[in-house]
Amino acid sequence: MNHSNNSQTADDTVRHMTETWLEMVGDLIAKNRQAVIVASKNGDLPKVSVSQTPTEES
Amino acid sequence: MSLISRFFHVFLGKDITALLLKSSTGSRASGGITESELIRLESSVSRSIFGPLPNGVVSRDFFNLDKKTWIWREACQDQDGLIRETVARYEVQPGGVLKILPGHRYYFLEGNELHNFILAVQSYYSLVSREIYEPKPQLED
Repeated sequence: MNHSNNSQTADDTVRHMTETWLEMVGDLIAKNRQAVIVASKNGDLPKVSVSQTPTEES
Repeated sequence: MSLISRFFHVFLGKDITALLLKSSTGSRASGGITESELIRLESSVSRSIFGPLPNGVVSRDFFNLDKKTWIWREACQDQDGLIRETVARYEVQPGGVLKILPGHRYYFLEGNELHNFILAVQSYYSLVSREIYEPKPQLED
C-alpha cells in the first residue's frame, strides 16, 4: 500500500472540504444580505436587530 | 463593480447602525439598505472575535467581501503618529485559501494560520447571523 499516496489523498480531501465549507459560508452570507436588501427596498424592514453592545466608535 | 472598487466603497460608507436605527423608525431613505452598509455593519459586529486591540493598533476590520473573498484590514499608529494600514485579502480557491498581501506577496494558508482563519470565518458567520440576520442553525465544520 502506498502510504504517500493515501496521505496526499487525505490532504486533498480535507482541502476540498475546507474550500467547500468556506464557499458555503460565503454563499449563505450573500443570501442573507440579498434578503435584507430586497426587503428594505420593498419597504419591509427585515428581522434585523442591532446589538446594543458598545462598539469602539461609540 | 470591480473588486477594488467594491473594497474602497465599503470604507466610504455611512454609519450602518445609525442608518438601520433610522430605518427602524420608519424614516427610511429611498433605495433601502445597500450591500456596503450591511458589510460595514457585519464588520462592526465581528470585531469582538479578535479581542481588545493591542497597543498601537487603531482599528481592525474583518469581513466577507463576496462569496469567495475575505478582507482583513488593520490600522496601526507608528512612533511618528502616522496611521499605516495593512490590508490582506483571502481568496477561496480550488488550491486552498490564498492570502494576498501588499507588494504582490501571496501564499496559500497552511497550518495554524489556516486553522485560525477558518475559526474566524465560523465565528464571523455565527455572530452576524445572531446579531444582524435571523437566527440560523450554527454551522459545523
